[in-house]
Amino acid sequence: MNKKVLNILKAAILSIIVAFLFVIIISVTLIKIGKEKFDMAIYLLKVITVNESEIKTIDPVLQGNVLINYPTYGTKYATIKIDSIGLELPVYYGANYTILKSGIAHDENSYFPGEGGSIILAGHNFSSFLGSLPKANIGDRIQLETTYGTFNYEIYDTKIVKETDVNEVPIQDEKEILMIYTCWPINNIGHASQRYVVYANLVEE
Amino acid sequence: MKILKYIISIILSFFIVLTIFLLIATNVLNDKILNKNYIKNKLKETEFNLQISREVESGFEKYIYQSGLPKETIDNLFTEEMIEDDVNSILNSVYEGSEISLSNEKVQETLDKKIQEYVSSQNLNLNEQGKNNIKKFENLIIDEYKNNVNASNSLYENAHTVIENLEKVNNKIGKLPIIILIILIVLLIVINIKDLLSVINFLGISLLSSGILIKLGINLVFSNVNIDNLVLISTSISNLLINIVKEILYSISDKGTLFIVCGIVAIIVSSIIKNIKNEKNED
Repeated sequence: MNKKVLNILKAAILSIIVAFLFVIIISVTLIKIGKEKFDMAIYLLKVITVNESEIKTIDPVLQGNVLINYPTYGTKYATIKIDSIGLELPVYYGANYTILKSGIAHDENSYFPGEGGSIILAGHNFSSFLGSLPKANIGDRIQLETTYGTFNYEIYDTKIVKETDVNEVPIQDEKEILMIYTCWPINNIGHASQRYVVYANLVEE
Repeated sequence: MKILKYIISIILSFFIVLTIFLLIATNVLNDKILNKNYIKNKLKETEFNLQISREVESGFEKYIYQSGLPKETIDNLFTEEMIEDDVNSILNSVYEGSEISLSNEKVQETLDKKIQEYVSSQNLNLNEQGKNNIKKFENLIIDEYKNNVNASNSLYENAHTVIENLEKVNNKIGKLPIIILIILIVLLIVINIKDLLSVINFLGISLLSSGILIKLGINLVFSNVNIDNLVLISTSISNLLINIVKEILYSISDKGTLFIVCGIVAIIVSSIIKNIKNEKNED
């Protein structure tokens, strides 16, 4: 009986070994001739794949005028207050239409409060957002309460510019200037081709 | 002579493995990638049209808040049927190379009518600048509709080229894999005409190695790429792509499992019967 089973096992194992030999031969051949193409295909698939483990949130910390750990794109990192016009709104890092529906958008190409450069904020012009911005006067105070500190600014200028005139909101790193803009005119119908811009300097207190 | 037979049978089994791969590839091509009805079913399954509608509506919202017009202006600018017609038009362009025609003119007509109604109801007296702003707004909304429904012209053009080339290859190959497979099996039978159990054994070897190779390949893909997180152009297209890629990979993987089981059964059964026969002969 044992010999019988042994013979069957021998024959079956021999066949399985042959099958594995086929696997090895074909795998090696495929690796030799198609590895580059396979790697390229995997690379392309990885390029269009979001790796969730790469997304992590660390709170920003200001060291001197260098911000360590920027906020995650799309998250609220500050509150803007302009007491003279009763404005208080959340500020989100990044500028896209979803963010603009929630509050004030921080242009991701501009600097953060405390970094010593241009800070560019934008918001819709309806009454619950920046509709009252043109009522703010030169000399009025703007406060930005961030997760890493509070920053105060004083309005020194306002302008109406064309939507295409990006030079009116320049990004520079020589001086901390807060620029807030909204669509103009406020009661516009259709596409608004102008922007109302408020300029404010950092006030050391 | 016996060894020569064995070697030839091994070589034939090896080619059977290769033919099985060719057969699976042509099967995936015919039943999935080149099958317009399969893609249509997938569009339904992934609620592609509904996703497109949401993307279009979300695109409209980008402009409505700053337009000074009421939110209702962008409501019901298009119907489900219009989206379905547009998606079918895109599908036809991918499979037949026809021109894409979208319902944007109907959308523009409805939008213009709504804006004019609002302007009249509010007794607004628009100057030239105001009229231009409305025209610009309408154009932005129409562009948004076109860009969301027809997410990428170049993608669909490239897809058509790929489909066209695959169809050419598929037409050339035709039923060749199945014919080759039959010839190889017939040759295997002819060589082992007096020992049909060996034929089953060699077929088992071919099936087992095909199954193992398929499983290895599929696992390699799954371990390197997170298919569920594929992102291409828009949510609707990504969902469709994820659904199709996963179904193709799982169906190939299932075939691999079936081949492994059948292969092992064939090997064991042929070994048992052969052993019983040998014992009888010895007696």
